[in-house]
Amino acid sequence: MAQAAAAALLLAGGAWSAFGFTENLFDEQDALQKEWRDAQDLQIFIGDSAIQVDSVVAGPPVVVTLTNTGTTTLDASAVTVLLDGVAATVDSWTVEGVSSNVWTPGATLALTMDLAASVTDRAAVATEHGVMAFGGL
Amino acid sequence: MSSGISESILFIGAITATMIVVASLHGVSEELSSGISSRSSILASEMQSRVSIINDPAHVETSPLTIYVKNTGTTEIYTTGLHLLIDGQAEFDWDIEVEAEEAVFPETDDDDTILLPGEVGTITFGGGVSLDPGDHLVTVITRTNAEDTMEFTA
Repeated sequence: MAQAAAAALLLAGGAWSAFGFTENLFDEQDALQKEWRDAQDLQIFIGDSAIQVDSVVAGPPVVVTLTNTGTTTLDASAVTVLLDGVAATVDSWTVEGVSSNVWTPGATLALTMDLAASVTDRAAVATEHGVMAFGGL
Repeated sequence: MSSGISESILFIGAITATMIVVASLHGVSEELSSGISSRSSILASEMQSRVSIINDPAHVETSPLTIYVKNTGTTEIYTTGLHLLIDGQAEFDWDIEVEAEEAVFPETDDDDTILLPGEVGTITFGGGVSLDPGDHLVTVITRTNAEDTMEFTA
Protein backbone atom coordinates (compact mmCIF):
# COMPACT_ATOMS: atom_id res chain seq x y z
CA MET A 1 0.00 0.00 0.00
CA ALA A 2 2.73 2.46 1.07
CA GLN A 3 4.95 1.41 -1.82
CA ALA A 4 2.13 1.79 -4.32
CA ALA A 5 1.24 5.28 -3.08
CA ALA A 6 4.90 6.33 -3.13
CA ALA A 7 5.37 4.97 -6.64
CA ALA A 8 2.29 6.83 -7.85
CA LEU A 9 3.50 10.07 -6.27
CA LEU A 10 6.96 9.62 -7.75
CA LEU A 11 5.49 8.98 -11.17
CA ALA A 12 3.19 12.00 -11.00
CA GLY A 13 5.94 14.28 -9.75
CA GLY A 14 8.39 13.06 -12.36
CA ALA A 15 5.86 13.54 -15.14
CA TRP A 16 5.06 17.06 -13.88
CA SER A 17 8.76 18.03 -13.85
CA ALA A 18 9.42 16.45 -17.23
CA PHE A 19 6.41 18.16 -18.79
CA GLY A 20 7.41 21.58 -17.47
CA PHE A 21 11.00 21.12 -18.55
CA THR A 22 10.08 19.91 -22.06
CA GLU A 23 7.59 22.73 -22.57
CA ASN A 24 10.18 25.30 -21.53
CA LEU A 25 12.77 23.69 -23.80
CA PHE A 26 10.46 23.88 -26.83
CA ASP A 27 9.56 27.52 -26.06
CA GLU A 28 13.22 28.48 -25.87
CA GLN A 29 14.01 26.59 -29.05
CA ASP A 30 11.19 28.37 -30.90
CA ALA A 31 12.37 31.78 -29.68
CA LEU A 32 15.95 31.01 -30.65
CA GLN A 33 14.93 29.79 -34.10
CA LYS A 34 13.04 33.04 -34.66
CA GLU A 35 16.09 35.08 -33.64
CA TRP A 36 18.24 32.93 -35.91
CA ARG A 37 15.88 33.52 -38.85
CA ASP A 38 15.87 37.28 -38.14
CA ALA A 39 19.67 37.28 -38.08
CA GLN A 40 19.77 35.35 -41.37
CA ASP A 41 17.25 37.78 -42.90
CA LEU A 42 19.40 40.70 -41.81
CA GLN A 43 22.47 39.12 -43.43
CA ILE A 44 20.54 38.62 -46.68
CA PHE A 45 19.20 42.18 -46.48
CA ILE A 46 22.72 43.57 -46.08
CA GLY A 47 24.01 41.34 -48.90
CA ASP A 48 21.31 42.69 -51.22
CA SER A 49 21.92 46.33 -50.25
CA ALA A 50 24.20 48.57 -52.29
CA ILE A 51 24.53 52.31 -52.79
CA GLN A 52 26.67 54.58 -54.92
CA VAL A 53 27.66 58.22 -54.62
CA ASP A 54 26.66 60.00 -57.82
CA SER A 55 27.92 63.47 -57.00
CA VAL A 56 29.23 65.71 -54.25
CA VAL A 57 28.63 69.45 -54.41
CA ALA A 58 31.43 71.12 -52.44
CA GLY A 59 29.12 73.77 -51.04
CA PRO A 60 28.27 75.39 -48.83
CA PRO A 61 25.69 73.98 -48.55
CA VAL A 62 27.14 70.55 -49.26
CA VAL A 63 24.88 68.28 -51.29
CA VAL A 64 25.63 64.57 -51.69
CA THR A 65 23.56 62.66 -54.21
CA LEU A 66 23.30 58.87 -54.06
CA THR A 67 21.52 56.05 -55.85
CA ASN A 68 20.18 52.92 -54.21
CA THR A 69 21.80 50.33 -56.52
CA GLY A 70 20.72 47.30 -54.49
CA THR A 71 17.43 45.45 -54.36
CA THR A 72 16.38 46.46 -50.84
CA THR A 73 14.50 49.51 -49.62
CA LEU A 74 16.66 51.59 -47.29
CA ASP A 75 15.91 54.12 -44.54
CA ALA A 76 17.03 57.53 -45.80
CA SER A 77 16.88 59.02 -42.30
CA ALA A 78 19.41 56.51 -40.93
CA VAL A 79 22.18 57.35 -43.40
CA THR A 80 25.43 58.69 -41.92
CA VAL A 81 27.68 61.04 -43.89
CA LEU A 82 31.37 61.82 -43.38
CA LEU A 83 32.81 64.80 -45.26
CA ASP A 84 36.57 64.70 -45.67
CA GLY A 85 36.56 62.05 -42.95
CA VAL A 86 34.51 63.99 -40.38
CA ALA A 87 30.93 63.05 -39.44
CA ALA A 88 28.44 65.67 -40.58
CA THR A 89 24.85 66.34 -39.57
CA VAL A 90 22.39 65.91 -42.41
CA ASP A 91 20.00 68.85 -42.26
CA SER A 92 17.54 67.73 -44.92
CA TRP A 93 17.06 65.04 -47.52
CA THR A 94 14.83 64.15 -50.43
CA VAL A 95 14.14 60.91 -52.28
CA GLU A 96 13.46 61.60 -55.96
CA GLY A 97 12.90 65.24 -55.03
CA VAL A 98 10.35 64.47 -52.30
CA SER A 99 10.94 64.61 -48.55
CA SER A 100 10.77 60.93 -47.56
CA ASN A 101 12.56 58.25 -45.55
CA VAL A 102 11.68 55.46 -47.99
CA TRP A 103 14.68 55.02 -50.30
CA THR A 104 13.59 52.42 -52.83
CA PRO A 105 15.88 50.51 -55.25
CA GLY A 106 16.93 52.72 -58.17
CA ALA A 107 15.83 55.93 -56.45
CA THR A 108 18.06 58.96 -55.95
CA LEU A 109 18.65 60.36 -52.47
CA ALA A 110 19.91 63.92 -52.09
CA LEU A 111 21.39 64.87 -48.70
CA THR A 112 21.95 68.49 -47.79
CA MET A 113 24.30 69.69 -45.07
CA ASP A 114 24.21 73.36 -44.14
CA LEU A 115 27.86 73.71 -43.24
CA ALA A 116 29.88 76.89 -43.11
CA ALA A 117 32.84 75.26 -44.86
CA SER A 118 33.00 73.35 -48.12
CA VAL A 119 34.20 69.83 -48.85
CA THR A 120 37.68 69.63 -50.30
CA ASP A 121 38.01 65.96 -51.22
CA ARG A 122 35.25 63.40 -50.81
CA ALA A 123 32.24 62.05 -48.93
CA ALA A 124 31.75 58.68 -47.27
CA VAL A 125 28.22 57.40 -46.68
CA ALA A 126 27.03 54.53 -44.48
CA THR A 127 23.53 53.05 -44.45
CA GLU A 128 21.73 51.97 -41.28
CA HIS A 129 23.28 48.48 -41.55
CA GLY A 130 26.77 49.65 -42.47
CA VAL A 131 26.80 49.38 -46.28
CA MET A 132 29.24 52.08 -47.42
CA ALA A 133 30.03 54.10 -50.52
CA PHE A 134 32.59 56.81 -51.26
CA GLY A 135 32.54 59.62 -53.77
CA GLY A 136 34.85 62.51 -54.62
CA LEU A 137 34.32 65.95 -56.00
CA MET B 1 -1.76 -3.36 16.53
CA SER B 2 2.02 -3.09 16.33
CA SER B 3 1.77 -4.24 12.73
CA GLY B 4 -0.56 -1.29 12.00
CA ILE B 5 1.86 1.18 13.59
CA SER B 6 4.76 -0.28 11.62
CA GLU B 7 2.81 0.02 8.40
CA SER B 8 1.91 3.63 9.16
CA ILE B 9 5.55 4.50 9.90
CA LEU B 10 6.58 2.75 6.71
CA PHE B 11 3.91 4.63 4.75
CA ILE B 12 4.89 8.05 6.10
CA GLY B 13 8.56 7.25 5.52
CA ALA B 14 7.95 6.18 1.94
CA ILE B 15 5.83 9.26 1.18
CA THR B 16 8.41 11.60 2.74
CA ALA B 17 11.26 10.02 0.80
CA THR B 18 9.27 10.23 -2.42
CA MET B 19 8.43 13.86 -1.87
CA ILE B 20 12.09 14.67 -1.31
CA VAL B 21 13.01 12.88 -4.55
CA VAL B 22 10.26 14.64 -6.52
CA ALA B 23 11.21 18.06 -5.10
CA SER B 24 14.86 17.46 -6.00
CA LEU B 25 13.92 16.37 -9.52
CA HIS B 26 11.77 19.42 -9.99
CA GLY B 27 14.49 21.71 -8.65
CA VAL B 28 17.04 20.27 -11.07
CA SER B 29 14.61 20.67 -13.99
CA GLU B 30 13.90 24.27 -13.03
CA GLU B 31 17.60 25.05 -12.81
CA LEU B 32 18.26 23.43 -16.17
CA SER B 33 15.39 25.32 -17.80
CA SER B 34 16.58 28.60 -16.34
CA GLY B 35 20.12 27.93 -17.62
CA ILE B 36 18.86 27.15 -21.11
CA SER B 37 16.70 30.27 -21.03
CA SER B 38 19.63 32.55 -20.08
CA ARG B 39 21.88 30.98 -22.69
CA SER B 40 19.19 31.37 -25.37
CA SER B 41 18.75 35.02 -24.47
CA ILE B 42 22.52 35.64 -24.73
CA LEU B 43 22.69 33.82 -28.09
CA ALA B 44 19.73 35.81 -29.43
CA SER B 45 21.37 39.05 -28.38
CA GLU B 46 24.65 38.02 -30.06
CA MET B 47 22.88 37.16 -33.30
CA GLN B 48 21.13 40.53 -33.55
CA SER B 49 24.17 42.59 -32.60
CA ARG B 50 26.32 44.30 -35.25
CA VAL B 51 28.80 47.15 -35.10
CA SER B 52 30.62 48.89 -37.98
CA ILE B 53 33.55 51.27 -38.13
CA ILE B 54 32.40 53.80 -40.70
CA ASN B 55 35.47 56.02 -41.03
CA ASP B 56 36.59 57.05 -44.47
CA PRO B 57 39.87 55.07 -44.58
CA ALA B 58 41.40 57.82 -46.72
CA HIS B 59 40.66 60.46 -44.07
CA VAL B 60 41.31 59.06 -40.61
CA GLU B 61 42.14 61.70 -38.02
CA THR B 62 45.20 60.38 -36.18
CA SER B 63 46.03 63.18 -33.76
CA PRO B 64 44.14 62.30 -31.71
CA LEU B 65 43.02 59.06 -33.34
CA THR B 66 39.27 59.36 -33.93
CA ILE B 67 37.02 56.57 -35.14
CA TYR B 68 33.29 56.47 -35.80
CA VAL B 69 31.36 53.37 -34.76
CA LYS B 70 27.80 52.80 -35.88
CA ASN B 71 25.33 50.38 -34.34
CA THR B 72 24.32 48.53 -37.52
CA GLY B 73 22.42 45.77 -35.71
CA THR B 74 18.97 45.64 -34.23
CA THR B 75 19.80 45.64 -30.51
CA GLU B 76 21.28 48.35 -28.36
CA ILE B 77 25.02 48.37 -27.61
CA TYR B 78 26.33 49.38 -24.19
CA THR B 79 29.38 51.55 -24.76
CA THR B 80 30.76 50.58 -21.36
CA GLY B 81 31.15 47.07 -22.76
CA LEU B 82 33.20 48.13 -25.79
CA HIS B 83 36.77 46.95 -26.25
CA LEU B 84 39.18 48.62 -28.64
CA LEU B 85 42.33 47.19 -30.15
CA ILE B 86 44.98 49.01 -32.14
CA ASP B 87 47.22 46.66 -34.11
CA GLY B 88 45.96 43.82 -31.92
CA GLN B 89 46.79 45.55 -28.63
CA ALA B 90 44.00 46.50 -26.24
CA GLU B 91 43.71 50.24 -25.65
CA PHE B 92 41.91 51.67 -22.66
CA ASP B 93 42.67 55.38 -23.05
CA TRP B 94 39.63 56.49 -25.05
CA ASP B 95 36.34 58.27 -24.70
CA ILE B 96 33.09 57.98 -26.62
CA GLU B 97 30.47 60.55 -27.48
CA VAL B 98 27.16 59.37 -28.88
CA GLU B 99 25.38 61.63 -31.32
CA ALA B 100 21.71 60.73 -31.12
CA GLU B 101 20.07 60.42 -34.51
CA GLU B 102 17.23 62.68 -33.47
CA ALA B 103 15.45 62.37 -36.80
CA VAL B 104 15.18 58.62 -36.23
CA PHE B 105 14.92 58.50 -32.48
CA PRO B 106 13.45 61.83 -31.36
CA GLU B 107 12.88 60.49 -27.88
CA THR B 108 16.57 59.79 -27.23
CA ASP B 109 18.80 62.04 -25.22
CA ASP B 110 22.56 62.39 -25.34
CA ASP B 111 23.24 59.24 -23.36
CA ASP B 112 26.83 58.25 -24.08
CA THR B 113 26.44 54.84 -22.47
CA ILE B 114 24.06 53.37 -25.04
CA LEU B 115 24.30 53.18 -28.83
CA LEU B 116 20.83 52.56 -30.17
CA PRO B 117 20.40 50.92 -33.59
CA GLY B 118 21.47 53.44 -36.24
CA GLU B 119 23.33 55.71 -33.83
CA VAL B 120 26.94 56.74 -34.32
CA GLY B 121 29.54 57.07 -31.57
CA THR B 122 32.69 59.15 -31.94
CA ILE B 123 35.60 57.46 -30.18
CA THR B 124 38.57 59.67 -29.42
CA PHE B 125 41.76 58.09 -28.15
CA GLY B 126 43.87 59.79 -25.51
CA GLY B 127 47.19 61.49 -26.10
CA GLY B 128 49.04 58.39 -24.97
CA VAL B 129 47.99 56.60 -28.13
CA SER B 130 50.42 57.55 -30.87
CA LEU B 131 50.76 55.87 -34.22
CA ASP B 132 53.92 55.43 -36.24
CA PRO B 133 53.62 56.31 -39.92
CA GLY B 134 52.38 53.30 -41.85
CA ASP B 135 49.47 50.88 -41.96
CA HIS B 136 47.43 50.15 -38.85
CA LEU B 137 44.40 48.12 -37.80
CA VAL B 138 41.75 49.32 -35.40
CA THR B 139 39.19 46.85 -34.03
CA VAL B 140 36.05 47.41 -32.00
CA ILE B 141 34.40 44.55 -30.08
CA THR B 142 31.09 44.74 -28.24
CA ARG B 143 30.05 42.86 -25.12
CA THR B 144 27.96 40.58 -27.34
CA ASN B 145 31.00 39.68 -29.50
CA ALA B 146 30.03 41.79 -32.51
CA GLU B 147 33.19 43.24 -34.00
CA ASP B 148 34.59 45.18 -36.92
CA THR B 149 38.09 46.03 -38.07
CA MET B 150 39.34 48.84 -40.26
CA GLU B 151 42.74 49.16 -41.89
CA PHE B 152 44.12 52.64 -42.48
CA THR B 153 47.36 54.45 -43.11
CA ALA B 154 48.69 56.95 -40.60
